[in-house]
Amino acid sequence: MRGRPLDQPPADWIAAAYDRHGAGLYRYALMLLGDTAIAADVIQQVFAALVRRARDERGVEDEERYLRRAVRNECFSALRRRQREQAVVTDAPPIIEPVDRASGNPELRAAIDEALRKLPADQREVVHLKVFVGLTFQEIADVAGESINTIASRYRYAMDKLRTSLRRVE
Amino acid sequence: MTDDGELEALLREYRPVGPPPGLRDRILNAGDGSIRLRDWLPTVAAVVLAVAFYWLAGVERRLLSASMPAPSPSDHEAAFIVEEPLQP
Repeated sequence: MRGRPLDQPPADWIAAAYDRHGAGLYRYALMLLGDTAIAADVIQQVFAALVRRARDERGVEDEERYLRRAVRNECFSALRRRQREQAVVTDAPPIIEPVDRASGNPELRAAIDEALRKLPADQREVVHLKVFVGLTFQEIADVAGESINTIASRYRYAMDKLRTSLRRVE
Repeated sequence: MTDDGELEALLREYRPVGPPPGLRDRILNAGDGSIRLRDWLPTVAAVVLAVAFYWLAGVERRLLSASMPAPSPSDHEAAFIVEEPLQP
């Protein structure tokens, strides 16, 4: 387990785990959910579960893999709840920002943001993990528990839809 | 934007928004999210005290009624006389 060393206080250990993975996991959750508040709640729940596992001496073989899968499960549960409650995210803050803040085109950013939001969550997930995180299809298939062909298809559909959406702003 | 490479390059000029600054503290302060006995100790102590006092009051009532003498037949007669209406 990449668990808590016995000589390290739990607060220090969880802080270090958050510093290693927190930002990336939050971005993953935000891309899946499109909602900053729920994404933050999901990350908090996942880290709380990690603390409980450490306290119960239950190991985590691969911390990053475990956390990514946990975030994914929580996000899809939250999406199912939102679908049941027929909740609609309106006036949501943007889910993407320019890497170089000085050179961002606001109209293009808004168009990409909207195009990403229009994708189904599972397609948005593949785009995120492939383009923004840089995982291979095989690694994404492992995270999603799907075949590599399914992941490649999702990516193809997502890219086609993004291309169609963004053609209007060219 | 004709191919995936071009579209990917465009997307990579952006990235998902990062976490809010307060999230780290929120997670560290929340701990494991489970209910701690320590948080409920004042409530538990208050309930235990209330039950103990109620039990003690019951014991006291039983002791008092045991120490009172049983009413004699003359007490019944006296009560009857007192309850009789006065003749005009």
